[in-house]
Amino acid sequence: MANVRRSRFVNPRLGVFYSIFTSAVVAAVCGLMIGELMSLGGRLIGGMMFGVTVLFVGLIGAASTNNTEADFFAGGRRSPAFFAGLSLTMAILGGVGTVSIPGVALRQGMDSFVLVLGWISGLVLAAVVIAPFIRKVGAYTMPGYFGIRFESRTVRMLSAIIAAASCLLIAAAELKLAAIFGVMMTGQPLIGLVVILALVAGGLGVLGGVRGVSWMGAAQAIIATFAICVPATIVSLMISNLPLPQMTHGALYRSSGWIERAQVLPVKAARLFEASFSGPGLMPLDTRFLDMYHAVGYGALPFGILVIASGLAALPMLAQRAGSTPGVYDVRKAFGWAVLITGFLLLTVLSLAGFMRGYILQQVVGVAGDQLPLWFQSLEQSGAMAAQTKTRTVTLPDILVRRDMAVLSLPVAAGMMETLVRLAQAGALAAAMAAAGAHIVALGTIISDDLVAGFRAHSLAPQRRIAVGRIGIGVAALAVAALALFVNDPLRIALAGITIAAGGLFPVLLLSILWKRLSRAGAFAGLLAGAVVTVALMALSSSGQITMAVTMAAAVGGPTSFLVAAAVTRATSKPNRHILEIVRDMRVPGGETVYDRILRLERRNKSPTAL
Amino acid sequence: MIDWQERKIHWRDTKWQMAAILIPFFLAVLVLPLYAEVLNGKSVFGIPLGYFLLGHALLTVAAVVTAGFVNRQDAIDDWHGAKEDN
Repeated sequence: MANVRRSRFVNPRLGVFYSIFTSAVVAAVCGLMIGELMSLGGRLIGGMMFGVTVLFVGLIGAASTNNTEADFFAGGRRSPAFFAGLSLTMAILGGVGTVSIPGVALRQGMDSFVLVLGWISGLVLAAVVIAPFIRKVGAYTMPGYFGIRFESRTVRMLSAIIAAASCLLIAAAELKLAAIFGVMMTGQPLIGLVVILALVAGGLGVLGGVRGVSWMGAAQAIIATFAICVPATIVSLMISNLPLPQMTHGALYRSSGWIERAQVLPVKAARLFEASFSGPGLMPLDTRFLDMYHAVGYGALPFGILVIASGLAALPMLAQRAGSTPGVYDVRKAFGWAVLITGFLLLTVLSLAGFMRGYILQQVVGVAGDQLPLWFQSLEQSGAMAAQTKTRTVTLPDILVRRDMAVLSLPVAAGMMETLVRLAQAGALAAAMAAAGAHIVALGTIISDDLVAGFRAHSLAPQRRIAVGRIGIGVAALAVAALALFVNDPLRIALAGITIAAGGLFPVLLLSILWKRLSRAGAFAGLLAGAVVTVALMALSSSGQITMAVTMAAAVGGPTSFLVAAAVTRATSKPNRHILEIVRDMRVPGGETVYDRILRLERRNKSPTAL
Repeated sequence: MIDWQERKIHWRDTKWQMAAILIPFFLAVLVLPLYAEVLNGKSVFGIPLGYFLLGHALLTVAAVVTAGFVNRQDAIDDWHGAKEDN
């Protein structure tokens, strides 16, 4: 049995490379600040910040160009835990986690915790129950894992269709968000930016595959973390003399609570399973922050957390990221780092929401409509916020905020330099591009490796497989760009993708790991039942024929999938001995990766496998 | 490399470890929000208590729980001879 020494493969100079990259980013920002002091225009700064973000990350992507199967589809299996975790964080959080979630927090208060807790729980669930086993199997895609686990092309095909739908929706949502941030920075038309960013993400994915998106993801995470933390820390220092925005923003909710209580706000109580997240347009601040269950019901909150957690744990992109680490121990550590960094970033973006709400409550509410602060007037012109009255005193419900632009407006409200305003936007752009790129590459490899080449009895020759993979990623980028043009609400579309993964993939994925008796027929029936029920409920909900939140569809589809998979498994024959051996093998971290062994034997014997 | 007989025991210990990690964590995640609004009447470090528990506490618990899992599972693998070579 071939045992692999992890330390041999990891580049020992990675830390140096990324330190240089971080220094370059800081130097670029400082250079732009100097330029601003020398009267460089705001639009030019925004364009240069956009260019720096895309160029710096693009250089890393271009330098990651490779031509070997292991590098292209599995990142060479040599991403060390910290960098894999960093890259995974940004692929999971994306623009939705970085901007939309705090936007929901700003508008709907603590009801946003269904998203926060769902996101972090998903990572914990993936770290403990999913990722280590996926890594040991070592398939290049999630459907590939199903194909190996059940030795069935049919199960692989069906899971590929479900996984592709999930990836397509999430990638489109993230690409749309990236284009929105690009419009804020450059002022260029939205359609043009969607196309340009899709070409950038797709082009770099075509060149580097999983290795490219892994290294780019780490770089994008550095930019996003820097860009989010700097304005938050500055505001924290301004209001409390402490550079800990995560700890200082909470006090604002108490002090601002008096102002909120003086407002006449509508009393709202959500129905038991209602979960209405605020839309992307200008909508009023008509809830108290510390109140709960006015937009998300008592039943919807726990189910929403479970659906989002299970959907994130079953994301097809996760299987690729798990496969890029040197071993099972490294993938557990990588997810551990991802949980830590994601938790830190979620607290930081919540602090952005808290500070922004504090500025609104203390400087806008109670002010005459024709004497609003200059920063608010500036945000009105950019379309991020608006006041419904210009004649009387402004109350809280008079203030309209745009969900996906609100927290990026904090540097404007705090009177920071234009460079720092654009830096925050660049961070959001980097985060959205990280997620979009990761899901485009995942979708592309599913198209090429599972939907196209998956019909074959044996895998393609390595160079042909890479060529087909590149074509698949290119096709995926075009499909994502086409869909992104029609996305109105990125958060809703991303949640739809997560819901499909939760209802269609997660139950069978979990059972495949924990229950070795799960048969091929049971897996197929479970996947089909879960996906059909989830998608049908989502479609009925979207068309208004039933009143159900998007995420609640998987709360019905998931259990249906579990029950159907179990029932069909009981009624069909047990898995064969080879499958049972694969299951036992994947539960043990040591030893050769299952898929690497299959490939090695297949190419040595040139014998077909039932994949 | 792990013995054949050890595999069952290793998997049993792994399953118990998973349950010990996930069940308390998810119980906290699902139950705490029911009381958060009421707890907001009190504060800790100046932060409303309910908000502090849902945000700071649970996110910290998630990181600690995952780190604990990584170490404990590695110890289980080592004990049963299932560890990867270094």
